[in-house]
Amino acid sequence: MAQDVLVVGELAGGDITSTTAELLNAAKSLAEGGAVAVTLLGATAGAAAASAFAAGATKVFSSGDAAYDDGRADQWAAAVDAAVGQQNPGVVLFAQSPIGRDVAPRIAFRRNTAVAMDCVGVAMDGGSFKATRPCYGGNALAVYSFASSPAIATVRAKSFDAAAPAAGASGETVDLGAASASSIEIVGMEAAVSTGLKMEEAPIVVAGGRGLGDAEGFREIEALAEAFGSDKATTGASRAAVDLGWYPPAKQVGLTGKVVTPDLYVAVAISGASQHMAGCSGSKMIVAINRDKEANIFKTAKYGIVGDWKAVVPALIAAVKAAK
Amino acid sequence: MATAEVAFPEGKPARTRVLGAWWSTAVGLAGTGIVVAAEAERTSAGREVFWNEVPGWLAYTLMSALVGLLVYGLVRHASIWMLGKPTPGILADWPNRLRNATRFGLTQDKLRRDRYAGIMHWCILSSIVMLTFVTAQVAIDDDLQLHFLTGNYYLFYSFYGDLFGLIGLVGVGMALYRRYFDNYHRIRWDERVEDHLIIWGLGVVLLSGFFVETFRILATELEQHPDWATWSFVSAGMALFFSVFEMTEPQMLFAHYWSWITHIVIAFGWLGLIVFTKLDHLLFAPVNAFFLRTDAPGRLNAIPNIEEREVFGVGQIQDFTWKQLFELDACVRCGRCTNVCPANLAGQPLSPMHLIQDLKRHLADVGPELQRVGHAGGDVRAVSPVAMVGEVIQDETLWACRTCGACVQECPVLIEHVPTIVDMRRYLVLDEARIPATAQQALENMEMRGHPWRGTAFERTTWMEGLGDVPLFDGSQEYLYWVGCSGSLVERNLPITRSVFRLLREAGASFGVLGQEETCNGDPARRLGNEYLYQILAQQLIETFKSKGVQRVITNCPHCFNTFKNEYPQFGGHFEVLHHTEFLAQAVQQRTLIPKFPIATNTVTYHDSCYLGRLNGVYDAPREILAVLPGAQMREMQRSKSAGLCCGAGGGNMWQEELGERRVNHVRTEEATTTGATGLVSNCPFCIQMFEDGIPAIQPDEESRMRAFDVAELLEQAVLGPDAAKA
Amino acid sequence: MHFVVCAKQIPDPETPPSAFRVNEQTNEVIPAQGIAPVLSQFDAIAAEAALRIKEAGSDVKITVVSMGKESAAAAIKQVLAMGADEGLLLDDDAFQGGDWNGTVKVLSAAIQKLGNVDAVFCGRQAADWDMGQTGVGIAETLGWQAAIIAKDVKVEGDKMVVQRVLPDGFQTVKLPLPSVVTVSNELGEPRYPKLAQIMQAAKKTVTKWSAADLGLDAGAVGASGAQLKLERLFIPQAGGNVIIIEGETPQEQAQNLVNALQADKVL
Repeated sequence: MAQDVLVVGELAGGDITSTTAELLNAAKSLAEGGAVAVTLLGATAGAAAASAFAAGATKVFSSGDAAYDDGRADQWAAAVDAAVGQQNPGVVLFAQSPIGRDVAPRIAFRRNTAVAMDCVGVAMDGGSFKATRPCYGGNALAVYSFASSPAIATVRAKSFDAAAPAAGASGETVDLGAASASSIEIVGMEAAVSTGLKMEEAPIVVAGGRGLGDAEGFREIEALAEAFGSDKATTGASRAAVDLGWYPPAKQVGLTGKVVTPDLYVAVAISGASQHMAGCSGSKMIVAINRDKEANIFKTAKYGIVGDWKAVVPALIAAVKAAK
Repeated sequence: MATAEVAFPEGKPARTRVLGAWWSTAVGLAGTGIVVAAEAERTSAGREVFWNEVPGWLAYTLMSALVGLLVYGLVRHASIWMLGKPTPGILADWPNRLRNATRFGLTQDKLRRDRYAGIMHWCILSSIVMLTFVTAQVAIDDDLQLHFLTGNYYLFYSFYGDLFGLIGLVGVGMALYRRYFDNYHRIRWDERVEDHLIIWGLGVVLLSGFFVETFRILATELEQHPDWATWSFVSAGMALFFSVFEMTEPQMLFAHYWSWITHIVIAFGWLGLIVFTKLDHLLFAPVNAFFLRTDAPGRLNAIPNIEEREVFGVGQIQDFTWKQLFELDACVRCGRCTNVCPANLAGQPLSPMHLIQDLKRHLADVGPELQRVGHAGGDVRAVSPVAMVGEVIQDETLWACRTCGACVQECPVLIEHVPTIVDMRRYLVLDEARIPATAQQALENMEMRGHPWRGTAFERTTWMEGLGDVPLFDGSQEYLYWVGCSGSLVERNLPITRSVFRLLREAGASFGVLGQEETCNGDPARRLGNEYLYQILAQQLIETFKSKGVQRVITNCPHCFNTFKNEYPQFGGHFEVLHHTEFLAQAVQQRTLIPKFPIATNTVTYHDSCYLGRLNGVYDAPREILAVLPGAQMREMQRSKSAGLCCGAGGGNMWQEELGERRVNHVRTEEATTTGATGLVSNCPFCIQMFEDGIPAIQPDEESRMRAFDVAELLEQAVLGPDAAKA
Repeated sequence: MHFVVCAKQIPDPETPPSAFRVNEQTNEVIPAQGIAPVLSQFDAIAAEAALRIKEAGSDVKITVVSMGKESAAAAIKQVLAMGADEGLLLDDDAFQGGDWNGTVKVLSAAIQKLGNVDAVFCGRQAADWDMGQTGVGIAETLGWQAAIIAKDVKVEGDKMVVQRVLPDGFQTVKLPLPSVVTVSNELGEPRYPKLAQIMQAAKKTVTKWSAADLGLDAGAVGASGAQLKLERLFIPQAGGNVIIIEGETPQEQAQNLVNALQADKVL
């Protein structure tokens, strides 16, 4: 049964984000022939519309008001709610991003419906919308259906592939107008101190955990990333290590940190609690170095070395350097 | 219930006991002297007291001044000690306390742990005591007109007077050598003017004493009664030497007169130092030995009625007991404590000696103000002039303590550093909630999950997998095998638990385990200063034990062992407790376990865990097991048994980041590697973990690396064969 | 000022994976033997944020509110021991089996009934379901603003200044009071309670309100009011076919790993 699906798009660098493209592709299959609408809010909304259509959108709710670029929840919620009111979709999809986390529950509670946050799967199953999401720190998966409409879900990045852009696709564009007044004042923005690559973009992430024993251990982790190449690899840490103050919070990989999906994820002295795996299980390949052969990390890793990181990592640094 | 043990139990006391009565040397010498004197012909030997018209009144004046000074000094000290809180049970068990005062005060039992210092100190002490006796006799002889310093006794008196003068000079010489020529540092860690003054002063007193005798003999006996003179063998020898100079009589009298004046003035002056310097240990050390606890050294005091109190730990100096304040005054800054402190050896921020001295100085600083408040009728406890914990004693100093007891073990004046440190930790944790993050996590974990191992992937039953039928304790078995949190939740310790289990089964022991019903017994909480959490955990577990009918316990871990054995009786839990090495050693002795397979590790060194060794005196059982392992050769480390060094994990440091130059486990592992052994054997899950971490750091080459084992693992190899653990 | 801290008692998230079990018939987590429920860590951190403001000198009353069964009083006591002033347990059989709509309705009703609440502090998400919508839901229901995933919270006059954790840095926003803030672990460890406070907390009585006290229709909350239906709860199968790289020495292991990575064209 066809239904309309609304995707709450996000913009970056003058274009829709990769997650928005993924959501549009997912929306297409959820719509089962219905409209795939997308909201595009921000200064570059007009320019990004073409990519949205190319990615599968059939209708764009757009506002080029630069105020939206600041991501204030009250303004976003008003605009998205207006689009929902106009389109009356069966499903609304958000990215599991700061905006998704902030705005999706607003729409759900404003419209007296429900939202499933941080989903890794959304699908139509026998005519009803199902959202699958990890819970209990990633130990379990829960599948939800909705008794109310629209069904709202925020979806984790890389949960779906984006469709190959359909050249020349176009559709209807509706103007949402300027942003409403906001009572949220943005006082400042401080970029996280991070050297080199962003964790979410690096092809290789070398991460250390509580098993390193102290903050000093991260010098070796950095040396290994350096050996892989500072243009390719960066470092990360488990929450346990971050909470102990051994590494900056911006480097935290996991459920409450960053979700990374590199080609290679090297987990050093990380036991692999589900909370951590939630942040790295999307990696194409995981290599684990751990003294405990029973460690959970080995359940997900492709390659494992059972041994003391203090011996293995220096050897690995040498071997990687030699291989180049 | 084991009988209360006095101070630190020694593994093999026999040898030290024989040498122990150093005092007997003095008695023996005196006895010989009496016999010799009795054999001698009766004689009219004697001399005139206050000969040469020396001003006797000077001696009495000075003595009165000294007595006055001592009384003043003591009263002043005592009024400061009394700022402390009452010391519960300080007179209980007084026979043992008297024994301690004798053992440590008179026979100097602790001092001999440094042989040189032991001899030196005995020389000085015996000389002071005997020469005071000699001098006292002169006074009595004259004052009471008894005139007993005549005849044979006079000759004997002359003999031992000279003998102990000489012994004293030997001691002074040894002290001077150590202070100025020996490349020896601990006594210079906190050196003060008084240290020089005391030793030079004593030297001058002794020498001037000899000069008095020398010139008296030169002027009288040498000519008139040379046979008497020879009894004063040192002075007579010196007189013979001076006779070469052919002094005139007035010259001799002059020299005698001024030697006497010098001797008397310096001697009383020197004794006056008792009031102002560390020389006060002469009085305080034996008294402190009397005050020494007579229960188990591994036991920490319970805070009674903890739920009804307002202050829990010691955050200000007046919250210590008066005994704790008293012992600050006993410290002589010898540095023995700091010299053996594992934290200090690793360059971490704790020196027990400086801690005691800092507290002492702080007490001197704030004491008068506290007294003023007290005199004015104010509440002394409510005054807090300076934050003692945090400013005078840094937090990290308190956290660096391993509670290993090495400082307490070595202290010649019987200061108990560990309870004082834990009292201040209690303040940090219970009153201030100021805790290092990792230690806090361990405490929270004990509170929430009943074990300190946050993030463990194991369950309390994981180790049982593949072992077949593991009997649960139901009251019908003889022993409860207590696995403990480390034994079941830390990966490296699981094989040890399995080894102990298989050995118990092989030995046919009647035992069961608690499995899921085990919870932390509270030891880490207590050591980290959270007495409240400890009491909750302890009371819960005692109830569990009682409800299950537990009477005998075999523990994996020396910390559990110490807690059950020494600390649970404080809360009505009386159990018979064995560490697994004790049980296994018995089983080997009774041939229920027969080591027959050669073990792969051919040279082993043994590390005494503090809580099994020093604090509970179990040194022999593990060694007996190692001795019968086929193919194993034992190499002792330099620091072993009661002088053993902590692995670094004690006192809750298993869960703390170490601050300082090195890690204690690296220091200890290094000591183990110098034995050249291929196996480093211990008996404690914490030690094993510390060594597993320390060995790769000290021996980077994996091929030739030493390996860490529990005693039980090696015994299992020997009894059940090398493949038993793999099955 | 009056702050509300929302606290939830949850199954211990540090339950070893081997002890974590699910009843797939009833879609419920089977409580692990011997592992007691705990206060959700993020809620303790939320309490920490509120307490830091109180300590900085503001005249603040902190009420800790939990929806749950009688046993949730333990979570409330824990926050009281940290220094909160009053405890409120929202306990009614009608609340059971609800979704986030129900929870938000109950909590919002309680906050309204408390009256004059200036700010609500929630954890960024509860560590059981990891949903992270309750805080925003309360704000929406009460018509307030919300700042989510905070690492620092301050009050300046009638505004709340929040430093938020974003993927690429920290954003500082100013919201009018009353507002909701959800707090993340970047704020720092929650404090360890002083024993005197534990004793005081033990003596405090926790107020209990039912659906009737809140004027809520039992049909609107709990299972009957739920719009999100849990269809299935299961433990995903782990891959479990790790290739352990062997080697006599670490050097050999490292070399073998590099060889494997090169063969897979990852290097």
